[in-house]
Amino acid sequence: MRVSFASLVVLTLLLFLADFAGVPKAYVNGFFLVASIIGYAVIGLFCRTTAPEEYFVAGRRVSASLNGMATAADWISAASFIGLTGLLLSDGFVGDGEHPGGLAYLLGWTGGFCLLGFLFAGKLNRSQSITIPEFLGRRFDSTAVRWFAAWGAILCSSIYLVAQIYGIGLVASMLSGLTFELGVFLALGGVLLCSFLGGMRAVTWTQGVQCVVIVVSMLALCVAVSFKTQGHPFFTVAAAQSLPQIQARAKQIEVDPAEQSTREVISLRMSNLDAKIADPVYAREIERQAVVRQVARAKADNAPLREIQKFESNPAWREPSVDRLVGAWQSERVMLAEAIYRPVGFQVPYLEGWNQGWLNSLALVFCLMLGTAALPHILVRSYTTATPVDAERSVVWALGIIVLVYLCASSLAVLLKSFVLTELVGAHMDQLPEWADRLKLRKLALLSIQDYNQDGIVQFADIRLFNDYLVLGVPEITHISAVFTGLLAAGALAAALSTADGLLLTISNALAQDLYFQTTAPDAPPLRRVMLSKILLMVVALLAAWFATNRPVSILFWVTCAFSLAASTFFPVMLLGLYWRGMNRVGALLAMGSGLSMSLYYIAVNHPWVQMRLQLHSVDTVWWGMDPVCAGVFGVPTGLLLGFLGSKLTSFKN
Amino acid sequence: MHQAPIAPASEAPNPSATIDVTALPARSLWGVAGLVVLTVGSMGLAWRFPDATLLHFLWVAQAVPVLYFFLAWWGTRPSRPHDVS
Repeated sequence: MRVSFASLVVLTLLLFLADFAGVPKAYVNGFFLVASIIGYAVIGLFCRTTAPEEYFVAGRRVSASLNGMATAADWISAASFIGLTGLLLSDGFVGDGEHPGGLAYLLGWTGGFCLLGFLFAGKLNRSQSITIPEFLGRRFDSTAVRWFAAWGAILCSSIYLVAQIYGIGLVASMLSGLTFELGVFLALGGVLLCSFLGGMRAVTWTQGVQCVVIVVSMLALCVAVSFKTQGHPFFTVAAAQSLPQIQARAKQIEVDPAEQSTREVISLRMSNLDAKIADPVYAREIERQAVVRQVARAKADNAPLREIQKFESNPAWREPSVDRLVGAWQSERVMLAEAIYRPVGFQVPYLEGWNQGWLNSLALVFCLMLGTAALPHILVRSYTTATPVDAERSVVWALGIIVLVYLCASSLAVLLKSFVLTELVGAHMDQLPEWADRLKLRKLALLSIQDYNQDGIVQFADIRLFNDYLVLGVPEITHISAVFTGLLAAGALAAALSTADGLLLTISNALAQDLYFQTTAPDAPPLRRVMLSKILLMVVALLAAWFATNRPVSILFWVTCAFSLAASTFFPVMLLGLYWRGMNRVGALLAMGSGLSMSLYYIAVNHPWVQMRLQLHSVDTVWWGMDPVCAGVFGVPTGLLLGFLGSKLTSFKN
Repeated sequence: MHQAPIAPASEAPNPSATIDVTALPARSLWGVAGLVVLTVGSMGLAWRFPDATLLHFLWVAQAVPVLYFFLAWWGTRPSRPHDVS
């Protein structure tokens, strides 16, 4: 680890020199990408193994500190590394009074490690199992439990994996200038070389190095931005110093008549969209007639082709299916709603303390904490240490590292906000700050601006920040060296790759160990088990990459859903199974089945696509105003209740 | 970074160690209680004073995660001598 830290520092210094010497930014960024992937692949090559104990659980002799680092890297995903800062920046701390605020993510993602350490880590290690389904199968002496748990693990991990691979594609394409699809497959090569060759042993060492990259990149960036804004390296203090100015500026913007007129225009557009969505066939006809007139007029005036294409890009003209047209209008409505409901500062004005947002935030913290303690790819890391005490200590190590990264992320959100509010809001549309122009024009745009009230001035509601990956633009926004772009992207890539590594291993091991060998060839020799796991790992990786490249994914949404699903499927059965002797296999199956079904149903029935297909309305499908991502708040109690009742009733009957 | 001593591990991928079902240790129970109180209390404070952004940042976004770390460290300390082995 010391070597990897020293190498990273030397590499960064060399690239600083290259930057000062005028080496093009693309080369500097590309170097970070190539060096990272080659580095991880070399570790994978050195740690290659076919010994089952090494491949599945890294020989069960990883030290607490290394396991903690690996767990932290496994945990810090693309969503939390590149998404948290953008989320806090955009949604604020306490939210908009209806949806969860950014603080809920921060607390949920850190507090869950306390639960993991208190409840599960030591006991899992003591069981000497290799997968979570195997552990549950042994605890309840049931193949059905193991089989069901394997499918649960595959489902939760797959959803998470697709979001990670999407994140990998974004970062890799940004660093390399390649297309998104090529970026995905390039980075995937690194993941495969690492996890395919050496399984858990290689993944542990790679994740250790990736942890160093993640922490160093985030810390270096935060310190640099802190220096830039307040002249000292203490980022928490710098953020606290900036907050009063940010709040004053936010209040000024909120009462600005131009801002209010922008919001009125957006509200009017939303009302128009509501009317169109209510009667889409009629609205499409009217819109099409309008487009025909506009295009005819433009052609008559010899307008440039770009203008004609702009008219023809109207979804009513371009979309042949009414369903897709309604989908396009709904997406536009969501985007407009975000523009006017998100806070200018870190909270919306005149927010009353106890509101739906408070309930949603508590529910989200609940789901994220329990999901963290029940995610199969995090739980399996408890098997890799020598003793139960080491497993628990490694959780503390992991939490310490994660807390450090998140302290940086929240400080960075505050520091970035000051740049957005002071440099961008109020600028002329034709004289935007240089960084805004660059972020807008990127192949992967991090920012878009639309002048809704046509006054030629940027208002806050005109700005759309792409939260999922906005943090990648921090060096440009804060005017620090371009080397930080490469360093940050290397950190983001490490975060996404390390999580993808862990997830791939979990899925392939569940498929091979818990499903195939358990049912078809229980006496298969160890080498065959390892080889099949490796082959399945490659197949799963390619499938996930194909899926991610074919569908745009909201990283944060799907990652949060994966937490709710993991919490509902595994938390009740693990808790009751480990701490209640009366829990039996019927209870275990009921706990997992009911928890998973409940969460899955709530997420699915509230998804816009499903609602559109089944003609459902949110008012009928949302329970007590809970966001779909908080589905675990229904799934976990259901799992606990049915697990308890199922065990009690069947033991009584017996 | 050194590695811990090699643990006795079986060569087979499915070892037969027992899975013990015991009551939650008191320290863990207190840890969970502390986690709930700290989380709900801090969030309650933040939502009770929605305009106190500095409080949200310094207490909830910065101090509470650090307190979680200390709570995890305290809650996972071995309370009995045989826990270490």
